[in-house]
Amino acid sequence: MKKTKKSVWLYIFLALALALILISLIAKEIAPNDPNATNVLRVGEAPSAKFPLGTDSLGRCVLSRVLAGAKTSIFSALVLVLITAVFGSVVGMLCGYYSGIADGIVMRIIDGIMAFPQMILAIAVAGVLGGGMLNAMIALGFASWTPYARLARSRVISIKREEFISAAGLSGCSDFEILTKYITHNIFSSLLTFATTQVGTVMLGFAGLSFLGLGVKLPQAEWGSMISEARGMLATAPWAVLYPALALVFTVMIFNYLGDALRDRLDVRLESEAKR
Amino acid sequence: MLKYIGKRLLRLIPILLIITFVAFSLMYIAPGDPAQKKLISKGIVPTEEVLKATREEMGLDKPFVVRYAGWFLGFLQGDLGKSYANDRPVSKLLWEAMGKTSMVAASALILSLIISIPLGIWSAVRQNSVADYVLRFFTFLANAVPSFLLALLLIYFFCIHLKVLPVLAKNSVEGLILPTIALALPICGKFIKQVRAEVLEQLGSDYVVGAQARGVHSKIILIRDVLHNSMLSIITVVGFSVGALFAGSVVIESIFQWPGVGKLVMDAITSRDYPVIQGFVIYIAVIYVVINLATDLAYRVFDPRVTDS
Repeated sequence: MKKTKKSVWLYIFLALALALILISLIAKEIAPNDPNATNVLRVGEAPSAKFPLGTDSLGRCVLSRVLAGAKTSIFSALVLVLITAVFGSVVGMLCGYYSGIADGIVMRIIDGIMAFPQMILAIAVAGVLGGGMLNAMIALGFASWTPYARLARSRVISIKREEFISAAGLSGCSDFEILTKYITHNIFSSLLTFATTQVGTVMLGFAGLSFLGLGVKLPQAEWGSMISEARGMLATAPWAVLYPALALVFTVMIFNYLGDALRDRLDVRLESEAKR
Repeated sequence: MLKYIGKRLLRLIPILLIITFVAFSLMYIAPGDPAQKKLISKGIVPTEEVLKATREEMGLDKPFVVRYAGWFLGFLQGDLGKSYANDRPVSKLLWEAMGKTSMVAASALILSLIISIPLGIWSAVRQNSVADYVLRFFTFLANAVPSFLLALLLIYFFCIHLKVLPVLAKNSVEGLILPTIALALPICGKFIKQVRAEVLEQLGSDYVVGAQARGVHSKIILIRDVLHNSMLSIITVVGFSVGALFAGSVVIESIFQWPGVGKLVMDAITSRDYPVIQGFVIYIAVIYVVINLATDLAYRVFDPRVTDS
């Protein structure tokens, strides 16, 4: 009974997340106006039939920009989580499987990188690199691949002494086969769950960098930079802040709920392992 | 215990090396010639002769490792170089700004503990009640609302709508209120979640059932035993949240123009003042490492069951 109830929530949030991804994919088609078309005569207009969510400080359609921003925010977060998860996991798996001196060195490097609060490191790297979408991704990626490595490593160490692994070795499997077939299969659910819980965090990190002017280059629409651009008109055109903010909070919540539902469903505990 | 402290301190050495190495390398991952960047940020036109002199002065003709070693020795003596913008020592700039940041960070931390501990306990004791569901939704919301957004909402409500508080902090106590709330509430989400989970776990353990069977009043169990035993995990989360506090303060300070390290580093990023950025990163990392070490040690002092694993 309990398990089916948990599954229902998982599917609901999965469906919502997929719906958001779908909306961001067709954003261009459903947007009522050109997201980058400025109009000095219609600056900070209240929501109307032509501009359902009003206009911003340059007279651009807020709804169209929120939709265009969905693509930037969601895809940059998903791509970054995918890259960091794969990279970190591979490093962690190799370290855990082979151990030795290389493992020691890599783990000390990871200790060092994790000694920085993630967002502080990202702000510094993005600040030095000078903003832009790619630089923001590099900055966030550099700061956020390490937990995957720790998690993968500790999981590999805990299962590599199991009998089925030695059996695979005895029956002639190469290390590569053991790693890709048996070990990956066994640690995949933990890594997938952790990666899902990170999507929201990365999205907020990205929005934060953009808010500080270290994310996307203008005029590309992104929720964090939209909020930042519109804050000067907070008193007269609050909708220009409100709607991208709602989109950001709602999307992050959906992905956070999805991560939690997945964790409950797969019954994995990972926070302590990824952090230590 | 002493042996453990020694071991932990030894482990700090490679961490310190990597922290300083990453911070030192920051200047070199930026595109362009460091000497040229230094001159430009100082407002000097980089002619060929000046460039050459600056390169020598910065030691750019020496190998990277030698430069790093020299810089590291300086760091050990507390010398983080001089700001490009005003030639003042970076360590001094950071030290002054850190006082301001600590004010906001400490008051935010205290506020979030005052809010989170009672609410977390309440949520756990009334598990699955309406209040619990509302609080759990709030923790989820708090985890999804970035502090910059909260800051704008607070400004809209208190400064524009009600007109009771100033937007710019201006060093006053009044000005401290909004930055503190904006920094504290997102952290409350994590705190409440942790307190709730920990208290729930304690409530389900044998000693609580035993005490209940002996007829001890539930409030006494809660305050004397459960809260006491939950303290450790609360200390741990506080340790972890220090990073979030500093990251949040960078954004919050630049919104409210509060003259702390966050504003210092954002100004340094704008003017490409690399020594300040480097110093900032090291400063925060060292604080973070020391606090995490202190948390770990506190764990061992308060819970004798924790041993080397």
